[in-house]
Amino acid sequence: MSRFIFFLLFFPVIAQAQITLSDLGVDAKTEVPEFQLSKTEMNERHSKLKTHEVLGLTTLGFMTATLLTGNSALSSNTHMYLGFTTGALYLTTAYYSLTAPKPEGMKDKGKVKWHKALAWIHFPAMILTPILGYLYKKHEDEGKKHSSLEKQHTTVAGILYGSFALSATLMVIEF
Amino acid sequence: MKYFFLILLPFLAHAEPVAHTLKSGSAKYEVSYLTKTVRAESKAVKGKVVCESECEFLLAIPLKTFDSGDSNRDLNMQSTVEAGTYPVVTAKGKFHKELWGQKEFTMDAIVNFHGVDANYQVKVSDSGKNATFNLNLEKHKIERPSLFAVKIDNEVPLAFTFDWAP
Repeated sequence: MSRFIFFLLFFPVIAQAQITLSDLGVDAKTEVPEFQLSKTEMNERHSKLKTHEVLGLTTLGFMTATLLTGNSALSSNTHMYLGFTTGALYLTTAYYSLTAPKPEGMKDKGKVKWHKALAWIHFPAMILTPILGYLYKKHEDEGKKHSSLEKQHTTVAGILYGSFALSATLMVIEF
Repeated sequence: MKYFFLILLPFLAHAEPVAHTLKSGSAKYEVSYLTKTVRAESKAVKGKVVCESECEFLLAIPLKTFDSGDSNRDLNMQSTVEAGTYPVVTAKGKFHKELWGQKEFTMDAIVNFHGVDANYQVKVSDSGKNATFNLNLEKHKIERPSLFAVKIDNEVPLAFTFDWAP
């Protein structure tokens, strides 16, 4: 009897419930992120985007060297070889980005959106620059007249460098 | 019959609990790494403080509500903290009733993040409208992301703003 009374005496204290997530209107099950990848896919995404980042910066380094050797392009092959290396690195960098798994339906937002949009400028420029450079050197060696388009090799290379450097800077440096 | 009043005594003696619910709240985190300082904010902070003889509180933030302005970065954060398995970060604890209403005070909180509980000292200011503490990633068994073998800082400063409804 006395135990019963003791229980009754302390019941109000015992009955004080702790605050729970449901008191806050939070249900953990409904808070699971909408866009998800499996662990394997996420690991692949991490690995590929990390490689993309490292290769992208390496490409920028080689692109800078190519640009700096531009003045000696007719007297030496260094500019051409650096250009080939830059092109190969560029395509490898793009491969790692394009094949990285991405959650279906996820829309790009923020800097990554600009990073990707700049590819519409530097990708065509990357294709055009070596072609124009090759044609310029070929016609120079053959003593032929240069077309107006191949004379734009330097301009297109400048656009390529500017847009690619901006694209890389957006992802590396916080503004 | 003589026990009847004894039964009623705790009910009578017990003060009516006072509950404060969050009308709105925000949480900001800051992750530093080499040249970068990433900031993200969630405006979906839920919380409640119930004061009787002492005050008890619970805060909850769904991890998916943090927005850094970069979808790729938010996805990386959610993956790193395994938000699919542990979608909500919570902070709970108790503090002396007298502290509630004071301009500044420090209290202990147990933070459940990444499914791991850890104790923190939280600095509360502006009479409960702001709070700050540094989250320790390793305490919660978070594998810190890195680039060029440089990991992000282990300490992640968190800043909260609260608008309590009485």
